[in-house]
Amino acid sequence: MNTQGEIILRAEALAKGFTIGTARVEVLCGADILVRAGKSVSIRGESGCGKTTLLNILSRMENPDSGLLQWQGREVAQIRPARLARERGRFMGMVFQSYYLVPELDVIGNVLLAAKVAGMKADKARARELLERVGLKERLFASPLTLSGGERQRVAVARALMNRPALMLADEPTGNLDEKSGAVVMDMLLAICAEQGASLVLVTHNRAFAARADESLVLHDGRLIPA
Amino acid sequence: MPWYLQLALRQLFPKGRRWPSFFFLLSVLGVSLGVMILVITQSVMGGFDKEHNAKMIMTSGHADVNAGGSVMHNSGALIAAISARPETLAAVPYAQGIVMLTHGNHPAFPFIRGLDLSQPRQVVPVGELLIAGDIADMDDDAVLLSSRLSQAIGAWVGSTVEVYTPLMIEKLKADEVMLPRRLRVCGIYETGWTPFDSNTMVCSLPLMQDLYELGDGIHGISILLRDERDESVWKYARSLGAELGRSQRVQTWMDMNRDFLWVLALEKNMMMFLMLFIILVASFAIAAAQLLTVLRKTREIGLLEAMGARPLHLGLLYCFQGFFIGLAGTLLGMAGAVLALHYRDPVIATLAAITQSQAALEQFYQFSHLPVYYDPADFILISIATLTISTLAGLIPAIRAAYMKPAEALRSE
Ligand SMILES: Nc1ncnc2c1ncn2[C@@H]1O[C@H](COP(=O)(O)OP(=O)(O)O)[C@@H](O)[C@H]1O
Ligand SMILES: [Mg+2]
Repeated sequence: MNTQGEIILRAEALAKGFTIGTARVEVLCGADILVRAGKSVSIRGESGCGKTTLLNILSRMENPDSGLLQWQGREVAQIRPARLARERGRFMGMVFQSYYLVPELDVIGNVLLAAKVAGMKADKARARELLERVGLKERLFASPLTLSGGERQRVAVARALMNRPALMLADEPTGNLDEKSGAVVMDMLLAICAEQGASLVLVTHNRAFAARADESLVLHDGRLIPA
Repeated sequence: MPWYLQLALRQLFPKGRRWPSFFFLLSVLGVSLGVMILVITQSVMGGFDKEHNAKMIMTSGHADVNAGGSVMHNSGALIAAISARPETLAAVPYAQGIVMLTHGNHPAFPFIRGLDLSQPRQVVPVGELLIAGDIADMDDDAVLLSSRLSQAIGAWVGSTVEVYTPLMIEKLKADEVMLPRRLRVCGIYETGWTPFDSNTMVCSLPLMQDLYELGDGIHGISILLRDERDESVWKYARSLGAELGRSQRVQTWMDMNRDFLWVLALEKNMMMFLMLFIILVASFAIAAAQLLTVLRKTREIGLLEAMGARPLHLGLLYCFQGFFIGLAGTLLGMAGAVLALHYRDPVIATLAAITQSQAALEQFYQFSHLPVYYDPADFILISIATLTISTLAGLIPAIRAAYMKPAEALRSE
């Protein structure tokens, strides 16, 4: 385990359960994670074991039942609810399995939207540069609906990096892609995060992809254990 | 431009497509239909109002001085005084009553009014209302008949009709010989105002005074004013009333037609009440379409929150869409209403032909064509109401969007 560098994300003893009808399901019970600046961590686990739930808690889109969560050393529970969304938008970028591009906006519009929504400067040059980096130089003004799955996910990666986030969360980013385009997206994701100095938490089913991270974890029985 | 306004516009008019979004078109259509119906009914009701008022004034003048049905004698000075007022355009003395009229074996009991036709400026423009005959041929042995009356008794210009007055019937009781007065029909008039057209006739004042044995007596003076605004008419009536003796009174056309005007006002208020439901239906159309959009875009809302969107801005995103739909619907609806009203005659003719109801339309609505009056106040009121309601209709989905938990939104299917 690497012990160098600023701690970007720290979570300790996270617990989260859901009540469905009368049944109680404990999804997380005592999950710990530590992510340092510029490092990547991969998480594998069976379907339905709570990986998405964990990422939702790390991004504070969902509240844990108990446990500690810090973003760059700041206690997330201390952030005023009114400020939370904006803090999140500036601190982290997210990539989802199903891209979630806004179909009414063009490719560059989608990337710029991330900056505008988070109340940051809509830097066209940066958006262009990121899209060039993911190989979409020719498609800046295309509608997302005309792109392939792999291309859409590359737009989503560029969008997630637009605000120079310290942390990237990627939830099965290649889950909907075929092997070849999945590999392209994964290469780019890892490379760009490294270039931009963003830490990465990557949820994936693919062992090979998981092995490329600086640290590999498995979510099992509500805990994160080294692979 | 803030991102939520930009995105709202983009969602209404997606980039790279020639047409606005289907939901936008559907909502705009709903609102514009509501606005269209509102504008049409208000303008037609306003048109009926104006037309009714104009007909009432045409048949009775703006104001009327009378003694409550009693005969007024030696009224020359009074007429001169009224005529001398600067506001007065015309002042015409009249006498009136009911007679029995026969032509062949067709009897009728019309209302008759004797007008001083020697006055240079008439209050009731009988000459212009003639559909047959010539006012120049009028003398003290001639009458003018309303169009329906002439039809009812089968008389036309040149016919001779016989008139019996109540006085003659009184004499009959006293066993005197009763001879009807034989009069020439000199003209047929039509005002388009059914109460007036159905059963009235007009003669000269001397003939009426003779028939009713009034001597120089009259029943009243009809007055036409230069300034016909309601306030001016009221003011005139007050100042003239203050000058008159106790036995005389001044009535405006609004006093004389009070019952009818009350019914009209009631009708208009009822219409307004019914129209409220149309506004409601239109706003439901917006709310439903907006709600559909929010449901369709649940995950997008989750994404925006994940990217740091403030709930207020998410709310504004949908409120603005509602406002914009309202704006487009208002403009389109008003344009549609004006267009439909412009071509109302062929539309109504077609409808009437299909339902074979032209005759009924004329009989019950008193006008052979649909009157329209555009009141700017109606347009302003309808715009404000529609914009307010459509923005509020956007509020329901906006609140839903603002309070959605991002994690749940992203999980939703
Ligand atoms: N909002 C929720 N309400 C009830 N159960 C939930 C909710 N979110 C997740 N779960 C449950 O939590 C478990 C973990 O889900 P998830 O985190 O999506 O798994 P993974 O991403 O690893 O496939 C599943 O059993 C799921 O049904
Ligand atoms: Mg998942």
